[in-house]
Amino acid sequence: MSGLVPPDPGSASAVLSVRDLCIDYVGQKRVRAVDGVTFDLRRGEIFGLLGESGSGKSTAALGALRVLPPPAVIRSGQVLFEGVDLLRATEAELRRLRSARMSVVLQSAMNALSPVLSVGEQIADVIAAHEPGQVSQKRVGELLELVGIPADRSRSYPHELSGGMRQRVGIAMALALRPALVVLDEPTTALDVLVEREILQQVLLLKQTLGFSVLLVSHDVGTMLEFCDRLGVLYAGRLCEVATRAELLRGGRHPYTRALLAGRPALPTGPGHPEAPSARLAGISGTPPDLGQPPVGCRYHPRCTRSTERCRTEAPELVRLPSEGHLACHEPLALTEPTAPGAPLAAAEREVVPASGGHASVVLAVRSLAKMFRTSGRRSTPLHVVSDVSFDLNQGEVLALVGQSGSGKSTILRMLAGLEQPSGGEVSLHGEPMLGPGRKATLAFRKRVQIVLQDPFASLNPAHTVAYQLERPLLVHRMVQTQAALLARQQELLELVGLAPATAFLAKYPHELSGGQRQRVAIARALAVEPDVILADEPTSMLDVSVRMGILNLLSDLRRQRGLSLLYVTHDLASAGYLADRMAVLSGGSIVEEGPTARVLAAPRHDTTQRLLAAATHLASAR
Amino acid sequence: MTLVAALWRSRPARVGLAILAVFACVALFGPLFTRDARAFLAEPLEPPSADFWLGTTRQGQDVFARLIVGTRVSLGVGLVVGAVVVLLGSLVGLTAAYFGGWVDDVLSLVVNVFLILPGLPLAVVLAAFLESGPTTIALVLVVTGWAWNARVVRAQALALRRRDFVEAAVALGEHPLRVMVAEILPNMTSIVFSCFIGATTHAIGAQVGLEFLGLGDVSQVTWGTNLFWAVTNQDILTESWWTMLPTGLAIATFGFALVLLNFGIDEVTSPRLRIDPKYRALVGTRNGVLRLTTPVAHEDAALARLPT
Repeated sequence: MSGLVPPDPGSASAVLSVRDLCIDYVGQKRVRAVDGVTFDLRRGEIFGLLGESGSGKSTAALGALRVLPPPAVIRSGQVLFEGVDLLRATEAELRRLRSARMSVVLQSAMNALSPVLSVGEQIADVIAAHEPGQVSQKRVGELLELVGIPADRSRSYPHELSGGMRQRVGIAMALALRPALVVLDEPTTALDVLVEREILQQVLLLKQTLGFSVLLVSHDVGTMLEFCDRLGVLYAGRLCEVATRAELLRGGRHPYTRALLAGRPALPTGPGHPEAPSARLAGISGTPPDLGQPPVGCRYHPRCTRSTERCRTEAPELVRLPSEGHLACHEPLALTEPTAPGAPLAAAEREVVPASGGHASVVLAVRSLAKMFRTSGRRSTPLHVVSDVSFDLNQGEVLALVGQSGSGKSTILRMLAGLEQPSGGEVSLHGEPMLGPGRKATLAFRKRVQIVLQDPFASLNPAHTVAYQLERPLLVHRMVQTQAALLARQQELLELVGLAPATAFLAKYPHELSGGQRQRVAIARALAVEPDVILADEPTSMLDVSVRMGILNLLSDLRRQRGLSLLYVTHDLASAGYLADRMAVLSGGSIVEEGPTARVLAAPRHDTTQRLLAAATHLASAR
Repeated sequence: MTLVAALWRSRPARVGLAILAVFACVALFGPLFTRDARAFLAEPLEPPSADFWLGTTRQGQDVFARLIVGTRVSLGVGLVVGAVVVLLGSLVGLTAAYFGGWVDDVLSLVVNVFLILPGLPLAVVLAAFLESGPTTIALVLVVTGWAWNARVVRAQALALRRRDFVEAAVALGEHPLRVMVAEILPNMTSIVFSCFIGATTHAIGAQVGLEFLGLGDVSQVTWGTNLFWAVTNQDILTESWWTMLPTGLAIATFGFALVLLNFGIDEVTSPRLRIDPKYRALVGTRNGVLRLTTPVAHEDAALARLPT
């Protein structure tokens, strides 16, 4: 092997050893997605690559195994896998290693199964490709049972299995030939919170019995801290630091790591938690850089609170620390003392807000709301998605509707927004029926109730500018008379949601904005008509951790300043605990528990609440 | 605007647009500079000469003049039919996709009925029974051609209908017509444009075909009637190739230009094809095998020479 690499005490036991890996995406312009990434994956450990979207974490992991198709190009570096130089291996050599010694489970693995073959046949295919003649029904069945699927389901086709089960099949395929290394690329991001934990726990268990190593790629800080032995934190294509879980639980040494870890709402736990949603949490200001033109010096310096002249000019090198970790920072932080699980890390930054007055009036009253779908066909059974849901939303209140995916929470929101016809029940707004007949009544309702949807990448029309998106509600509802008033109002709205200078944003198209900025535009659009109620459908779930807090803070501020009522739909108890006055927990289309946030979190009564809370506290305690 | 700007960056589209521009100039101004296309000017079936660039017909008419004058009607009918077909198809497709339910059922039924009508035979029958002329031909081609476009637009609009930004516009209180035209339609310009090109190409071909069969007004000067007369006069037997070859080439060139433009649209809508030519060798297939392995620059001589 080449003498490029200085000897590293860890590398003797390394399964995968990556040195100075640089990967470009070549297209109309060249983008360096991974820049000088170095790490070792030791035998039997779970190593995590943590980063926000665009940080290069998936590119680094998949590129190192050379499973990324062009236009990704490995520019330089070295990758040793069990002593084999992967960057010098021929395609035939790589093909022999794949599945047999190293395998990959992709984020969309559950959608990567062929719909025309049974899952058993697909697992058998993997075995047959490498060990022809060794395929047996028994072996396939054993693999399925390994990942928690009954062996007789091998005859099932992918569409007959749930998303979680299909993802398990993907894992079974990856483990079919007992590889030494399994790369899990955001394996559970598309899954429900509870299913996600079950699957990762299963992988952890399998790792202990089968003894493979795992390279886990994710953006989810809580999950990573819970499951990884060591972690590499990536920012804008470069490694900030490599540290053990214990070190990261003590805050890490890099300012970016510290901010990432702090940028999650702490779940108020334990009985007698006094004040509910009243604090502000610190996010990270700014947005990740454009990799086409990365900043000079440390890539994090424009957003870093500790940056100095040196950080602006000289990029810090990744150096090995005495503790065997690696760090790339001129101004490292000292590790903090271990904090008690769930204790508010940013306690100093919390400001207490007086609770809203007691005599609240009901804005939105929902009574026995129901939604039923009929499948086509003569012997169809009606599917009750939502049944008998009743609640009140008071003036100036935040009510969180919490539930797993499939609990009917989004359907309720869509019915309240008038996007879906309820099959039963009543909704009244200020005591009047929700949607009267005719366009005039529709408009009157639309003016009072607005929505903010989950995916900011989908909720703004890509064909129109920000100015257009903000101008439509104002024109439709005849809120402005003159061109000058329109412009003034558009700027006012953008500044209200924290997009300044407003004039710079008006002419932009959605694709020129970051996810957080898009979500702010979507919120500004909802606010344009000065509604009484905003229905928010998981408004932060698609955003990066570093911008998530900013949006939550914005919603919290708007509620306080404008007396807005907010119906906040989420699966994340932590953010609901941060934002909401009251919570309603949904399961199977009905409300199973309702009450003040503090009470629900301190003393959950229903099984679903307890399980959601367990998932959330586990993540929170990992801080 | 962005589509046009992006198109201009694609070489096939530029070549296609240049050819189309030449045809457009010929159609608009060409007839001003040629001899009378109908007049009997010379001896029959003279081969190309300095006097008659493309020779003369059996009736002693100037083939070059007939080619130039015919361009106007042929292109005009093609473009009008393309535009009307796309307009009608988009309207029906969008309406069906936006409202869904019984509206979609009824419209889809109508579309399906028109789709299963055998296009060219019906066109022949209609053209034979209606008063002959370019308007009739255009009408016939619209009737037999719009349904396919409605189908394509409906499928695409259905995919967009459930997108969040459409829902957001509905929740905002936008009028349905506005949602269709201002929110959904701008996001399918490339497919609509593609439909327009397809419909135009088809219309020109079908029109020439119908006129060639004598179903147009044979006293008109168009590409199709030029071919009709060439065959009627049995020019092929006298080996007078100049009466048919120029028109055939014109039709082929025009179709070729439209196809090039369509390639350009493909490039614009599929970023994988928009890759820098320097790197194009990397993408797609090598030795007939789809490349799925990440190439390594410092292990690949051709790659190592590329700029970093």
